[in-house]
Amino acid sequence: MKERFPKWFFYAAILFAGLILTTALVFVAWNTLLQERRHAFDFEFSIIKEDLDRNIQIISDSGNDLATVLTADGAFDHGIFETFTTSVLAKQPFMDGIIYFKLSGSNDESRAAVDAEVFASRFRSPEIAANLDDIRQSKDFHNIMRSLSYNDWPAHIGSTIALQSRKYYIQLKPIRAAETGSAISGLLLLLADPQRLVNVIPDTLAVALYIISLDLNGRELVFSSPAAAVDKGPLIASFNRHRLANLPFHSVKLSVSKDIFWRDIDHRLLYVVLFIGSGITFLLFSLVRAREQHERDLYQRHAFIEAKVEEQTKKLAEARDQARESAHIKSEFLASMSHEIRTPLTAIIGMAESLAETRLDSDQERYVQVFKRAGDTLLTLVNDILDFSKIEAGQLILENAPFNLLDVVEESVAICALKASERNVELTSIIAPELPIKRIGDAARLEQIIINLVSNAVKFTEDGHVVIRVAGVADNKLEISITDTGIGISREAQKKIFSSFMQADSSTSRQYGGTGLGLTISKQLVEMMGGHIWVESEKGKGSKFSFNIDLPVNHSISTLGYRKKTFLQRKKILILDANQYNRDKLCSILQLFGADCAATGQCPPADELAGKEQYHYIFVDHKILFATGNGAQFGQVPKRFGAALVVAMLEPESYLQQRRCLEALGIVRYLVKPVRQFELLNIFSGFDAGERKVAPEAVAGGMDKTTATADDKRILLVEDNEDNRLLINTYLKGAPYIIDEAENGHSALALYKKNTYHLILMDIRMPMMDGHEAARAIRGLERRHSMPETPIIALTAHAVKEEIDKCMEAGCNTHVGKPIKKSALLDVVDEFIGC
Amino acid sequence: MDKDRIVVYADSELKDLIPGFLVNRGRDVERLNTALQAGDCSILSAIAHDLKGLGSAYGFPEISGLGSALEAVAKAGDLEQAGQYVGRLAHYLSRLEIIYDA
Repeated sequence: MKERFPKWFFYAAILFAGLILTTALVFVAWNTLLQERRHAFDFEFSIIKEDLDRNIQIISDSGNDLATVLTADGAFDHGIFETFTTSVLAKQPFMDGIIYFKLSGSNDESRAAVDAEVFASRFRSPEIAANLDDIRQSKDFHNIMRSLSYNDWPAHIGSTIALQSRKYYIQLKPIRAAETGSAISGLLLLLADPQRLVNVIPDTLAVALYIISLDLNGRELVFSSPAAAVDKGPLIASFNRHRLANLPFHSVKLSVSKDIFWRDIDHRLLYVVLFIGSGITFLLFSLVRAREQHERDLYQRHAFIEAKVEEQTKKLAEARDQARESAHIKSEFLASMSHEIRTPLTAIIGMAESLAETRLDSDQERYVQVFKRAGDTLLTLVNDILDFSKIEAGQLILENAPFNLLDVVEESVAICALKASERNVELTSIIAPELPIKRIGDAARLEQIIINLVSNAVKFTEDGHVVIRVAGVADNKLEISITDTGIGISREAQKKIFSSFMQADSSTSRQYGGTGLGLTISKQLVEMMGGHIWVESEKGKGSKFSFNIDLPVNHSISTLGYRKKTFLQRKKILILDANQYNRDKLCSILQLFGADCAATGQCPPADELAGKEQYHYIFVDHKILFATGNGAQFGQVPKRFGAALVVAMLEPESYLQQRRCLEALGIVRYLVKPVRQFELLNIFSGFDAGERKVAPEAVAGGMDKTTATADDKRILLVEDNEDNRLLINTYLKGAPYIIDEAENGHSALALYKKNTYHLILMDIRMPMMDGHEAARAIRGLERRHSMPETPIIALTAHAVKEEIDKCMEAGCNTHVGKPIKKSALLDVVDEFIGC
Repeated sequence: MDKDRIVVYADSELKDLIPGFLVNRGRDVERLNTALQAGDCSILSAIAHDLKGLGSAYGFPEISGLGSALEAVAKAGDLEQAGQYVGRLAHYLSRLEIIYDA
């Protein structure tokens, strides 16, 4: 609004308004003042008027009284006349004389003049008395006489008469002799001084007296008195009043005027009003100015604040950029440090491993083992420190990819198994059978946590058990606990163990090694996964470390099981294991698939084994199997009752030796502890004569596969390098497998569509279609045709976590690193399609 | 024994395969040199990757070691270093003497 009108407009408008207001106020005040003066004037005028009227009336009354007195007795009485006139003249200061004329002459109308004779008179002053004759002979008098007789001698008449250059007011009263109708005998003349007629006049008034006598002199000014000339400032107003009194045969006009001058009025009111008016104008002015000022202030303040805000924003942006920069530098440093440190370490370890595989004498072998172990330890330490720094710097981001929980747990357990076995600690993992195992999250970090806790448990336990339990808590929440029968943790130590760099007590670091960061990192990771970690322990009675995390279930992957849920129905299975956890674990898994499971920790006598119970499978732990006296009975079982199949569960540390012993007993099937679920279930595949291997119930169109019989196991080898193909063939020479070869993904797929394979060995680095793609394609085909999954084993020379993750994501079951070791290859092939 | 010779004890199981293996490695060296001249790092690293994966399996960890190093420098684009490793590989292959254990 302000912009549309120029600034001066408002001021002008205010000035104008103020002016009008002031003018109005002054106008009102002025009128009030003048009105006041007018009232005063009216008052003065009425006084003068009343005096005049009264005086004139007195003249008239006097005339009447005298006339009455004179005619009362019929004859003129000089004495009465004297008395009366004296009294009148004394009482009435304006009366200058009374004259009685005796009239002679006739009543005749035509008579021009009547002879008047002065009969009696009385005067106030002798001067006038001296002029008596003048009166009688004056023109005025003649005119009056003529008018009187002409008008037939009215009762009363008033007129003027000039005497000695003055004009006098006269009233004439004809006297009749007796009653009405008689002839006029005389004439009474009353003479009044006009000046004294109007009495006292304030000198502020201008008075004029006129006598209007018709027929006679017309209008005659008999008296005028101007107001006194005063210097009272300029003339501001003039009041004027007249009064015409109508009397018999004449009128008397009184004219009074008053001039009002500047100093006559009370200026104070005007000043007050002007003051008020200008005050109001000024007030409005200042209001507008104040508002304008206020607006300008606001604008200024606004501009200032904006400038400040902009400054702050710039500063914040700078600070933010700096923070980003430093965070970037930190993460780059960490990344490059990680790489820089790990590369030579990996080289050291890799070379140590390679060296270990060459021909070495015993000294050399010892040395190599030492520095290989040192390298491993160093790598662990470095990884811990780098992880910790990463997490502290907020640089660690958790993966969000699909993975198999069962694999992670079993892998972690497998990694720690050898160490545990050396310390005579048995590792068992128990996963609630109904728990959904396809999850989405960071498999590597979860494995890290579990390995940390399990290796700790193993480290502080000797001759005991470590049990890993995985259970579901709520929809996506898991609780994983690791219980050991180790040395336990004191209450004070429990408070400290999750803090950085602190071990339970300083002696443990010397005895057990480690950085002390493992638990801290585990805690950090658990918390990043939205969970908590805690410990329950008593010194000397073992410990239980538990953590719960959010791990969303992967619903998108069809949980199409490898096997139908009832494929073990009506199978009777016996578990012989001193480890109660292992018994529970195996039973729960097998029962899930419909098996009829029995378990015991003691070895029953031989005839009971083969007795009425007629087991289809007997799983026996190595300790029981090789305990003196037992071995033989087991060996006899398959001989006498061919139906039951004995499966040995061997110790990880010495399974190779134990395996040879099995041959002596005639036992062919074995598992290496800790038992993996997959391996366990694979025992049952393709075993029973006449029972088809996990063949698809329906073969959908487009896939015309040749069905395999139970005897020949077909392997698809996908590898582009000829030398590797030859090598693998050589390694697998001993076993009755049929090996088909493909040089790349495309030919692999073609072969896969044609034949049924029990296992696929898939090289990753291939031209045209690499191993990942091929694996994905195969899994896709299987899903689409509702076929069970063929195990795919990735062969990769780049066995780092990221690469392995990729392989697993593509659908591989596991991997074997290149250069391929014969034992590793055989083990893994055995695991999946053991023969 | 000629000091220049590099003696490798190989697994007799692979006796039949090793000659062919060595011939193929010779061919690999030729392909590597061609790739070096062309400045093609991707071919260099691909061949090196295969060498890395094969060497130890056949009983020649040095080949795996050289392959691993060559792969790393080829990926980094360092042709000069790559050339050096190729040279070392050729040298190694030319001086091999295989002794099979019983």
